Amino acid sequence: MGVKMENLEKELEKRVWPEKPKYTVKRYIPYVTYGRIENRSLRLFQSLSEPIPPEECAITSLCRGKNRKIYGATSGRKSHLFYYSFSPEGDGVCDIGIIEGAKNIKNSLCVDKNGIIWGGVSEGEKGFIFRYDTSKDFSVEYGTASGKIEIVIQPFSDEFILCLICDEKRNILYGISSENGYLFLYDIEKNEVSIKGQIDKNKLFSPVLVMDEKGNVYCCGAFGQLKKYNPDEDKFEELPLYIPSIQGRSFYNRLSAGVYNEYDGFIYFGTSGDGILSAFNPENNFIRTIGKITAESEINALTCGNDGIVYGICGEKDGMAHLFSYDPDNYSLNYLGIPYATSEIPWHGYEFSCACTGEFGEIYLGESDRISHLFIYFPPIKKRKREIKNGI
Amino acid sequence: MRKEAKDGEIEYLCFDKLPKHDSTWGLCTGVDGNIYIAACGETTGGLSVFILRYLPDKEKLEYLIEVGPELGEPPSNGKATQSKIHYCLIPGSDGLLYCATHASGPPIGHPLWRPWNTWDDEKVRFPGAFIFTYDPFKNEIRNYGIGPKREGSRCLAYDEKRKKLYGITWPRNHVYVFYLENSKYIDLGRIGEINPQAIFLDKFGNAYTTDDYGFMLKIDAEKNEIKKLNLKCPCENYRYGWHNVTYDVVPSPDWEWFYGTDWGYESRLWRFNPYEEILEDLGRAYGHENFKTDRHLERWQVRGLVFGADKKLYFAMRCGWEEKEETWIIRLDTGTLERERVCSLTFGEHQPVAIASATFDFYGNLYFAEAGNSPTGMYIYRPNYVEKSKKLFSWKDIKQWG
Repeated sequence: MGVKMENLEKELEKRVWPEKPKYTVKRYIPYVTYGRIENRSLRLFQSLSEPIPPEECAITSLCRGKNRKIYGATSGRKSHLFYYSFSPEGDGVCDIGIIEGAKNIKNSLCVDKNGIIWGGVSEGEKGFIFRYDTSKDFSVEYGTASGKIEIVIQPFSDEFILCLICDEKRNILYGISSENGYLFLYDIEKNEVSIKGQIDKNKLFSPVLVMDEKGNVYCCGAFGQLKKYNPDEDKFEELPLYIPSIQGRSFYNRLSAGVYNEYDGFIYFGTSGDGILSAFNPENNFIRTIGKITAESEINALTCGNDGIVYGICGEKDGMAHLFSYDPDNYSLNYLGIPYATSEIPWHGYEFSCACTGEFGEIYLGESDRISHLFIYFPPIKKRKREIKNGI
Repeated sequence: MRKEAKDGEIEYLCFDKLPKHDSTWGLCTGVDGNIYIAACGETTGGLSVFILRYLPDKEKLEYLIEVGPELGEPPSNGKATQSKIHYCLIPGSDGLLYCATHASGPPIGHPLWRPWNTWDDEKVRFPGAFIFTYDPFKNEIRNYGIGPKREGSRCLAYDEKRKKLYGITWPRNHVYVFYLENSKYIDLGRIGEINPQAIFLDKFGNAYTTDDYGFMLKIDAEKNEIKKLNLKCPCENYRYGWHNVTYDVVPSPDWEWFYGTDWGYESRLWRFNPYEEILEDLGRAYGHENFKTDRHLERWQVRGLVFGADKKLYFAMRCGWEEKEETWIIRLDTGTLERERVCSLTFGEHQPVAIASATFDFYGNLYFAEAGNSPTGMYIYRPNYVEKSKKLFSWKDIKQWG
């Protein structure tokens, strides 16, 4: 029972109340202010169309096309394929269409050397690979055009595709099957699927694939052990290496993001159990543990800027997302802030699933909330000073 | 303090036993005809919300209970406090008050607090909005626990037939439902960026609120599905309607229409009929249509909507385009759409910063809760036609949303 009313009123008359401190707090803005953030609603420019509906618009895959457009796939009640055109003639998102029977396309969008977009269904009716020809895509004042989504092949009758990447030089796709954790290869020219190995038979595999510049493909099995497929030797092997985790927690740790950085030749890994960022050198099998950005446990996505800086987003479901960067030149891990923009749409981005880098170094972040937007981060351009030698 | 008003009298009642509390957000009329009040502290650290009661029969104010400690969250615990019951103080026909707490009060000794800065910091973050009932007869709280974790509950509606609460969280702006019989909490997901301040119910128990641009959203009472209606709160034609989320909504006396205002820059009124899906623009609530209010979100805002026993819609709004700025009570004849000033809310040097909400007692007196001054308080408008021997309202006239 609460304090009796009469007693409460008497007590209130004698209570000593807290005071407001007289100092003011500085540096309290939690948002990304180093560089610039904008977002785009998933609709045509100037609100010509309705956005991709709520509960169908969580962006869970992104990739950059050969035509400079950004392609994305959504998850939810239905999955949509879309492209974002940043052309001054039509800066907006075109909803290409619904991917038949799909509910989730997770980290399964990539582009081949001919500019064809390939995707894999991670959840839904059937786990097929689809392709999309981007050659018809444009968005200008007079109209917006797009092509058709074609179903190509279903690699496994009773499994879905958890990740899909493309080796452009060899013209092949690699993917991971959802139930048995097979690493499979899809030969685009031959239209053939072959299994290259089983990442982990106990389903303790991570749903991430990363490729280095030689075409070696890396994945992660139980307890964070790295595994490698060498296409030249057609060999799938376990490496004596583990992604970093807090002592005793490797069982809970999964690789949640990975990206190859052309600038320094390292592969950067992010994990979901502990949220640790690490750098792996495929040349000498060295792993550097970089660190943990915030208390939130998952690194959702990683991508590399044109300047070699690694960008990532971390956060949990029902949490708050945080953008960060890592500079391999000075080993500095930097917290950038919560993505918040008022252009196009005033919006805090709380949950993200994917990221990619645009042609000019802008960073795209795929929001994955009930209502989602494509966020764009423009890293700052550093001032530079030219060295004059011999008067030139 | 009392003074004359048009066709009546206006009184300011200060909650002076709470010298640091600065806003009265929750306000409702109970089934017993008494006025229940949530006195909140959102700017001074280390304050818990209090529930007060005003007895119209005796014209007496009572301090009933300090909520935080009863929920196991004393305001001195170093966390962002259970500082408010926002538009989440809802009466039930069983005499209970159905409540949810809200955030923004800082931890003790802190000058400010924001959820974005403290989300992952267990020592200072807001633990979450508690859902509870308060029994004013026994002076007891029944605590259902935290509904939305780490977030406050901005507004609430109670579907008594289904024993179901609808709420909207802050800051992440999710709609939730809470079933009281089995304490089941369901997050229906994010609806926008700008927090609606009202979620209201039609006679079938369907809930309504708006998205960021003023489009009506309907939540199906049985399926809990959110549907966007093709009805938009009005705005100037050069605007998109951004920030026109529902602020204050009251049912018409016959419950066929809902009169509302939004949290926008427009100071506009509208009325909505959910059964025929009609939304009508009633224009600028009061004052010149050409008076620009673009630069100030809250300064000219309309709030405190309440129907009087004369069937006119009363509300509070700051006026000051031709004269000294003051908050006035205005009333609107919903038949002719004529507006007239009733009284200013200035008492000497004292003016409200804002009016938060309004209600009536069964005799027909109108109550307007204040926000922004310490201590906080409320205004009581007593129309001349009110007689203590005659009840002009009853339980059937009470809305079960904040």
